[in-house]
Amino acid sequence: MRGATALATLALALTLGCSEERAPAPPEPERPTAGISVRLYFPGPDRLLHAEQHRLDPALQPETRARRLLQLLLAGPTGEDLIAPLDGIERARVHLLEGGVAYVDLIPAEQSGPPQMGSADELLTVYSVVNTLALNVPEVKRVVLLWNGVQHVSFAGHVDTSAPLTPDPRLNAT
Amino acid sequence: MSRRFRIRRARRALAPLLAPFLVLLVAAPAAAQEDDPGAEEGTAPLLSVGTGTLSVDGRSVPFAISRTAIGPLVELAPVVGSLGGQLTPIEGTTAWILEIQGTRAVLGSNSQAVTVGEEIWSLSQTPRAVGVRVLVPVDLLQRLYGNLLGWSFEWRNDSATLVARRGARREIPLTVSAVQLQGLTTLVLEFATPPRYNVDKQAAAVRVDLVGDAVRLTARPELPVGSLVSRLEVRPERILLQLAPNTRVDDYVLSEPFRLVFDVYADAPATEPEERTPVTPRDLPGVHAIVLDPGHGGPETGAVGAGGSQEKELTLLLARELERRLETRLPVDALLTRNRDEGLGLDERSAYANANKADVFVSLHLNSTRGGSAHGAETYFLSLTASDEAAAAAAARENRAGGQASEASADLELILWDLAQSRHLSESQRLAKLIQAELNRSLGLRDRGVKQAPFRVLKGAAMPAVLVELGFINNPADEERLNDPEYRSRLIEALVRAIERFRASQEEPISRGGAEAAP
Repeated sequence: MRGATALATLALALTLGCSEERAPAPPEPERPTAGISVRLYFPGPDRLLHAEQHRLDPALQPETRARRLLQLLLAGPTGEDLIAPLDGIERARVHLLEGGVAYVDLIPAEQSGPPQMGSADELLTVYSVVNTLALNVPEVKRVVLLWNGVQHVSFAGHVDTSAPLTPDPRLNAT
Repeated sequence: MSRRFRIRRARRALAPLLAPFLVLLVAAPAAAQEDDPGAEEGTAPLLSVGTGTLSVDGRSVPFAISRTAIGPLVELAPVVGSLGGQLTPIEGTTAWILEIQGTRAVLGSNSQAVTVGEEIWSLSQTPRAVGVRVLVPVDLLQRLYGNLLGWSFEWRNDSATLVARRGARREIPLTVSAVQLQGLTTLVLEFATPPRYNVDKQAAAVRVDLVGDAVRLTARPELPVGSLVSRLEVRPERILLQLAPNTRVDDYVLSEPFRLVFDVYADAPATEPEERTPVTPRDLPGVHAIVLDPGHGGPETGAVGAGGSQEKELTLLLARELERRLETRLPVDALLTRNRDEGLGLDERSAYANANKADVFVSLHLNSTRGGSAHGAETYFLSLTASDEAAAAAAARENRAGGQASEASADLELILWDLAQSRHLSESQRLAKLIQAELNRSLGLRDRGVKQAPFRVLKGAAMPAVLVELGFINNPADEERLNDPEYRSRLIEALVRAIERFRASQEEPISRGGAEAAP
């Protein structure tokens, strides 16, 4: 049965396209006992990233797992106090290169540059993606963030996004 | 003159020339590994650039090439010039947009992935920026020009020649129409089928070169009375638009049917940009020059409060007042990276501090957060990413191993210039602590310590550098306070006291280096 579920998930991923996930549909509830545990990092009111536990099919390939994690981030947190880090993003593409660099392209619903925001929001937005991918997909060591295909020096004028980013666990709430 | 001082001078003199190259070295550890599989992570090898030949239609075009362990990298611009398309650098990035027949590819000098339309492609190796040139692997050309325009490529290693062969030439019917509105002429070139072309915009003319295709006019074109296109010339392989004086032109593409559209506007007279005044060089120890950086500016508003207050406006108010009070209270020169509402790149801000030999760099910001009711001030100093740390450590190792002064070690000093903040982390941390302590005292805040983040504006600063968030503009109470001159005065007083304490400690004879190691 689990094998069939894995095949169905993989077939669905291939049908949707191998490099992109869309936000609108909320994630299916994960069965608490099935799959491997992953932790999604969502910003909280204390300006730290709070983990929400989900379960994913262990048979997912690294890039597919990364896409699934992005889909869950795009769908937002289930906890009431937590904040959707990718508000305004319609879909995200991810591509995993050999050597552990994941390229994540955030595509906004409206054709525009990255939004203006304070450094606190920018840090939490950037590291919700970086920490979620790098701390849940062993093959992802660093993350490059693109906005609508373009790698910016910084999204909102603070955090340096010109180079691959490693996770920063200091931003995670203990 | 000491070696250290000579290097410092050379570093500053060469910085504008070398900065893009250094950024490449620092920002592309992945690329470094791929170019040299034996290289340690973070130690990007220098790219050796030679000259090769692009052979197309019996013409030989010289272009820059480089060879890596993976294969050749070839200069992109001459290929685009010969085969068609438009290559545009993206301002504020080391990325370029290459548009070919309405297909948009985005490539970056530190990105082995390229986005093409809706896809992300992996390249055999990372494109590299060398000065203003971008060198790309041949497989990118094959996939872009091969798929879109039918070109094929052969790389001849012995003669360093890239041979490009075109598909069959087509003759495409062309219809020209033009419309005149007040101050605007719109000229439309409608092609029966999408052509292979290249647009070259010059001061008074626009040239459309057909690449491997030719056009045939369906009717004689006519320009309207008062047209800002003063002359139109259509040849099988070239269309020339001569523009009236004092005009500017935008071009874009419409599809189904494929149309190339030129909007020619009557231009307003240009204004001279305001020039920054250089300040006297300062090479004495201590704190003599302080660069204050009001965050954001121009189209970049920064965070915006519920009451409509913009971060860029309040930071400028704060910086101007801080400048005035510092110069009144201390024997220092205070300089602003911007003194009006203008856009300024993050690297330009730290470069301005470096060029003016500042002893302290303070970037002023206002924070915002989507959740909670955070308030008060926070002070940051730089946290290097693992990539930065690897590059810095590798350069430092090489530097130590170098022993005697040499050209190579001087080069490494130059590399470290880009990571200059790594040398000042403990001083930056100390300055951040002093500022935060004074702000806590002034605002009655509980001490939350100082913070670290990979903020770009701090990275290139070759002096103690901090970023101060002076309040949360999204918090209505903070926004109201920040609009109160008396409250701003308290903030400024706290900053002046902290800088005064830092300045005094810098003039003490005992070195404090390493007293407070940055985490």
